[in-house]
Amino acid sequence: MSRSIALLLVLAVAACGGDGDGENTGGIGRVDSTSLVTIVTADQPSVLDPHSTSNGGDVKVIHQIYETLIRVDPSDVNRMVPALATQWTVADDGLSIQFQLREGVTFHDGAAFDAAAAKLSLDRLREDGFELSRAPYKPEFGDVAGFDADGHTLTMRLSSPVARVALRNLTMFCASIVSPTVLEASKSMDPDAATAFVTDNAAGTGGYRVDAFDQKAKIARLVANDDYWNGKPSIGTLIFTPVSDESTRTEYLGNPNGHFLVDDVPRQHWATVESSERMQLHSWWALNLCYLGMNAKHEATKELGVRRAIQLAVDREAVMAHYEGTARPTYSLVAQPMAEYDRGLRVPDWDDDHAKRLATATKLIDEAGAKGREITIYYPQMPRPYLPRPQNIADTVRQSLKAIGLDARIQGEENSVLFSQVSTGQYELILIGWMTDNGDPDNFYSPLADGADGKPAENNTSRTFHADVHAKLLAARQLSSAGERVTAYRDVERALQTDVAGYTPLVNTKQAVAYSKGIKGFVIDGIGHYRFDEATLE
Amino acid sequence: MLAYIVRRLGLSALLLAVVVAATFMLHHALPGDPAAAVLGKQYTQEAAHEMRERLGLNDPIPTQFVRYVGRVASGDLGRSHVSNELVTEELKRALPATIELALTALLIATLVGVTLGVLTALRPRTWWDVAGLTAALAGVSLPIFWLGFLALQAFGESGVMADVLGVRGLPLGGRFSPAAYSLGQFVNETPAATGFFLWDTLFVAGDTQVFLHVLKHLFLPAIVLASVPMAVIARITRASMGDALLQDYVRTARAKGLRARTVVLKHALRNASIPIVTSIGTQLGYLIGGAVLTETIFQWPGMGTYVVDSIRALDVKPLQACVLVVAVGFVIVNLLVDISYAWLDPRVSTAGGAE
Repeated sequence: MSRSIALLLVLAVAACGGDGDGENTGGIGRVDSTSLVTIVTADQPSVLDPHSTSNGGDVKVIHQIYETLIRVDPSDVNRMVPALATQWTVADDGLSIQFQLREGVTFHDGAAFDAAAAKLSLDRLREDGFELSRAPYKPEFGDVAGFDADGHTLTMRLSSPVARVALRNLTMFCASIVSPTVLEASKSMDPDAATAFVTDNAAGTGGYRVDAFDQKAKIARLVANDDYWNGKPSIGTLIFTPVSDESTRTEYLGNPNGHFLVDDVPRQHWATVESSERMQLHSWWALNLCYLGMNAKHEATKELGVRRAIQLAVDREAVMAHYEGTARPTYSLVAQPMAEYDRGLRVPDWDDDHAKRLATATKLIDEAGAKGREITIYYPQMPRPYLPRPQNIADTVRQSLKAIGLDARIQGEENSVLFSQVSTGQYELILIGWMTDNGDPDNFYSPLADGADGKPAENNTSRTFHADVHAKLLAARQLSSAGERVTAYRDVERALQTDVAGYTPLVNTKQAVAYSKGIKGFVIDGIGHYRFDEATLE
Repeated sequence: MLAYIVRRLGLSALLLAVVVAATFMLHHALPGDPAAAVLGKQYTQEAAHEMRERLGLNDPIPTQFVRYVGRVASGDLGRSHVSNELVTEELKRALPATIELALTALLIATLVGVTLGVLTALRPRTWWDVAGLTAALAGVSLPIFWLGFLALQAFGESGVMADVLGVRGLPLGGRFSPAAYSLGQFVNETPAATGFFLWDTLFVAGDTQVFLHVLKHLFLPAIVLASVPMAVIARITRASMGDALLQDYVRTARAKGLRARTVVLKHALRNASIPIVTSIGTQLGYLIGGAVLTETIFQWPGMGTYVVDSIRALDVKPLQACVLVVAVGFVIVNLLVDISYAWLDPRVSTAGGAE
């Protein structure tokens, strides 16, 4: 036995001798890792087709490979700055926007960038002439009538004067421009195969191109694009490493071997990062909120009085305790960092004294004859960035409702099950949240509190369509003056809280990424999207 | 012996039929609507109905079952709705990763477990025995996620040992570092590559440097995964050896003046080996199916990770395929274990028929 093991070892060593440098045909390639950043994320990137995904893990890679016509200003989330478009003009009637596109830009596969290329991508994301297996952002482009391409001039035609929202939507990753060669080749394939083809042949205009992408082997390696229009990025290689296990992910914070960016750092570790020698924390108030949706059509929450009582009863301070000091109470549906957020707004009968508020709420419950009523709070089982400990937070809300005489219970659901439950209205109360994709107030109110044709939108947790609110939102969408817009959306919020009472905003949270101190000048905007094309290593 | 093997094969085939039916039922037993999972944010009742139609979920269950069996028989395990890739293609990558990890863990578990078991059996009620049993107890009792975390804290790249000794710690996860080598492309583009990285780097590419790199990545997860089977094997070896050492033939062998090593290894261990082999066999099945936690902690891109990702995304096709593959693996391993009994103890095959 031991002799055969020795023989095997000898054989093994013999096999290793000689041409072990990997330069022979079929050898294993060495990667130049002298200029490298490893990005550690919780989500696994799987689809590099920007028109057909909404997965956070994909988006982080997509931002390095592809570019949009315009971007959110990294220093001011309320402004937009040029990217592939150098300038744009909104027509006087607000029904079209003309973009002047950057010249001399090429895709990673060598194709030239022009208005026709941009049109092809923007048509595809709206399924105009294309069929996609998933088109998650198609509804956002419902007001787009079409695009006209002429050399390096692109005109976006709108069916109603909603230029501001349309421009905001163009900053989203889904409006990324993909190589026309790839898209033309994918056109004849069935939708699933087309998405796989675009992923396998990912070619954008961004600072990095795909060097290796194998989602099941968890490999996503990008290298600097030599021909990038803004100059070849200084950092040579980016590696995306998905680490779903929280404790393993935090191990990377202390890793001395190389430069790292660790995304999705658990909140309890933020303070450690801030005092670390190697890493630094970049944190910001995110454009998000966590809220309690209240179904006005459900038997248990159908009375306005009950919903108003819940609005008064929920103890935001107690909810905040689950966020390690990284959340603040919020009182509107729109995210607090946005100009449209109304700092002074509180629900009717609000009293700063918590005990008095509870007394009012209890009275409302008694008046509605709901004392002792059984009421269930549904919550997602998996944490979300705005909901780090779903069960604990749900339980805190439950205690608030107990205090006003409701027999509150909590019920966890698998995330995708819970989200599909919203559109079918199978809940009375639901603990949920929202994070904007484009930084526009309309991206909160339209999906979460509006609807169309007399029906609530899929994510509208109140399950009611309110004609007055709908008219106000339609009008607000068409405003381009910042001042008028602020007034209009604040008016919408008041109407929603008083007349519909279909949600109780709870908290707005901070978001953060930790990265090695040696990484300088990397760009991160207020929505949380980062790019490395301008970053350097020290 | 042949009749025995044929009988075992027949039983295995029956078991496989049950497994296929069970994996089919998985589709209907899972909570949530697969159509909702595919649609995500785009969910509407109409879209969900259309998607169910497209996925064939609106057909009668017997029709769906016949279609499923037909597909499985022709090797078509469907397509993942997350990656749009064929499940068989994805399995080709996940399965070797898990088998490589499981076999390495089993090798460690067997070597350490049998050695520990024999040593403690030879010196019962001594401190050797106590230490061995304590190690075995710890192996069984310590949860994998805790052990994995401790291992990373101690031996990982940012771990205590690396700091104290001033050396580079072991990798935090993955099968290799994509920052160092294009091993993924190599395996994809080399027809002779098997997906078993130890083999591919050493025998296909003949590259010792990358082989050592892969081995370093394999080390911590394999040790952590080996902890439970090692403990089980050690305890069974100790019990089985303890019995064997008291048998008359051992006393006879000793009386004949045979060397102690020969007595222990040839006479006692071989006779004590049936329960040990059984436990090794069942542990292999457990390792292939039960590497979920280890794989998650160490981002090992194997079956465990594949299952977890699929469950999270309610991706039913990969899930069915994984259950099927693991179950088939279990059946095959058990079959091999049964056959090995016959080889180890000829009485097993001749005494058959009564069960």
